Amino acid sequence: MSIQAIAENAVAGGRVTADEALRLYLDAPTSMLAEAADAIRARKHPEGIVTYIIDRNVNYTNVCVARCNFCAFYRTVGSSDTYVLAFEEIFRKIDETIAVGGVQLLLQGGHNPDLPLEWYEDLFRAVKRRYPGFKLHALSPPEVIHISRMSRLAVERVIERLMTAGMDSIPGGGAEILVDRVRKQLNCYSKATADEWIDVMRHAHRAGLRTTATMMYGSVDAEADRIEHLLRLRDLQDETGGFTAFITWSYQPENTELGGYERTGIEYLRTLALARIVLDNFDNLQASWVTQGGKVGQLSLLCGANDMGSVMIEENVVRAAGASYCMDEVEIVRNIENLGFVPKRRNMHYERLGDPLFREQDIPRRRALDTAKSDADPLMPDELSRYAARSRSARVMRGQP
Amino acid sequence: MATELLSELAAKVAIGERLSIDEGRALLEARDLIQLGMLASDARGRRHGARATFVRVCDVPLGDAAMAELPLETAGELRLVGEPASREDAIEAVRALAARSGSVPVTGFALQTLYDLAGSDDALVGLLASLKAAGLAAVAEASADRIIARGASLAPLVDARMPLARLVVEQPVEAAGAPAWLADLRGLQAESPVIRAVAPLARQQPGDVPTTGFDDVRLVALARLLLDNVESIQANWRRSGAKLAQVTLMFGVDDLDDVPARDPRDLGPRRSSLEEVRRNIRAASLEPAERNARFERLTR
Ligand code: SF4
Repeated sequence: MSIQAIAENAVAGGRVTADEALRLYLDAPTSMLAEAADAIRARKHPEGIVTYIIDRNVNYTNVCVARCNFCAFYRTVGSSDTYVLAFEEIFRKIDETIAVGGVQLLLQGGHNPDLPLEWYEDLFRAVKRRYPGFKLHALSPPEVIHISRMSRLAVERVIERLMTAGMDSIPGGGAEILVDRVRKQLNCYSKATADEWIDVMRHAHRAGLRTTATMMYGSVDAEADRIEHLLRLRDLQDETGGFTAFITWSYQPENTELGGYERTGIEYLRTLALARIVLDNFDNLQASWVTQGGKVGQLSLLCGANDMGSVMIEENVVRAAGASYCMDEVEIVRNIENLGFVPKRRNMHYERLGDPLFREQDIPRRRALDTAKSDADPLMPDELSRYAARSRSARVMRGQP
Repeated sequence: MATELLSELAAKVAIGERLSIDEGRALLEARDLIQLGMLASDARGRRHGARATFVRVCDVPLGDAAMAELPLETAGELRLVGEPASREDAIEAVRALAARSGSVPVTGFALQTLYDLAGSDDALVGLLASLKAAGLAAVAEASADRIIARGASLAPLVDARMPLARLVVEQPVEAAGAPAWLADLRGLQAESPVIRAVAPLARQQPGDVPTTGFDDVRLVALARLLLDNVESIQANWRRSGAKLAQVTLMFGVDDLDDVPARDPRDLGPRRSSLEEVRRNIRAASLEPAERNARFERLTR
């Protein structure tokens, strides 16, 4: 089949094979990829609606034993600038999020050996007690695996307990590239193999949770690896139907051990368009303006994306690796409407919540993103002494034997 | 309707036929950015083939012309920046820098600044001639906004045989007015053909409503399609940022201005500005070619 025929088949609703996807990715002109992806988006979302969510990306700890070599965010156990957020700090962040119309926290963090399962359960229960309708989109698959290993409980059991405590959905972080050869090179194989990542999502979907899926490309992966990644997601989606959306972004090299350089804007748009073509059973694709900037982020809506992601209030991980773009609701809506789309707020399940909130109530403009810790907050809150630490430094700090 | 129009215009672009303002308006109304980009890319390809040029620039403050450390190994343009207090200051700064610039061309000044120093078109011709004699290879820029607002012409540059490196835009051009505005620029160039490159993306962005990616690439594409008497459509690497600058290459831009001649710190060979700009051009399926301020090809 010619490249044109492969693209036309995809636009008509046909499924592309791995070989066809690779041919498109390597050889199709960007305009052809974009047109095909845009046509698929239009077929799936004929009303011309582009959604976004108001939420806050909170990283509860930067302590991590995984030490992925592409990560600029983590600190090793015992480092002087490690932190864990206090419950009160998290409540304050929720208050601020609700004040600007936010409906959920995206809660992720490092693999901290000194936070047992009970800490997460207590936190989730406390959040739900104080903010009953507020959603917790929390703990990516590698974090769930980490908790499962530390607590010596099966992943299913951990998910069950976290759901009982208040977890509403699971973010698709930590997928990077779901190819074990690549994961070994990124030093993230031990935190979760490709199969393990997929398995957590399978368990979550079976337990009734919806999740997202992600892909971080452009580190040590080749084009064929990205396609293998997309096909693994597509297969699981065929099986469970549990993914709500797919988000891809380029590896951000600044301040990382791996180093290297970032992939270009056009490569991002091509990768996004290819994902729209391959992931025929995904309803939603998000634009990653956080890594690409507002302008290329907006153009993502012409390359297959139908969602502008989050009106972010806080971001720590990508910023640590060199990217820091900020768009508040006004700006996101302006960018959506500028392309002739209709903006709608949504929740994590992609249910529409309504029109832009700033048109209904007075919301202060936001020109910069907050960070996890304000200077006034202690790096390690007192309440941690209630939880058994595993590392020596944390035991000493908490006065535990 | 939109498809018919686009194929009609594609046929015109393919044979190098001029597009009218009305056709520019129709392209705007079609709102088909991908098709517009393809048309502009064809127009770019007819002129420049698969090549995209870039220039590494070192800004030299006027006061430092005699002593600034100069990256002569890497720069393709030494650009004097700042406002000279007098004609003599301007000439002296050029002379001082040109004496130390080796084979790297010296550019500098905004045309308006020189006009203000000279006071009249005739005096400007004289000043330009003196600057040329002192070693100025080209006037660095002229502001399209000011020239159009004043109804001024570029004739003094022609009379003094002084090239203009680029026509720049200060404030964003409103989409609906863009075709007529581009037609004015086309007329300006027809009268005094000294514009080597036009950089259509505005330098100043209103804080509350900056232009969007769509606004930017659409304007670039229209500029390529309507400015058929201008050789190069340019994007500014530093101001636009690598990602947007690269995307404009898909919409008719053939030249990237203002790539830093010096990296702020040692980024390693794979992350140097030179490698980054080359990588971005290649990832846009074009061949990078380094040039200097005279648009001469450099082999480094
Ligand atoms: S990416 Fe996540 S798991 Fe890996 S080192 Fe960073 S914080 Fe830890």
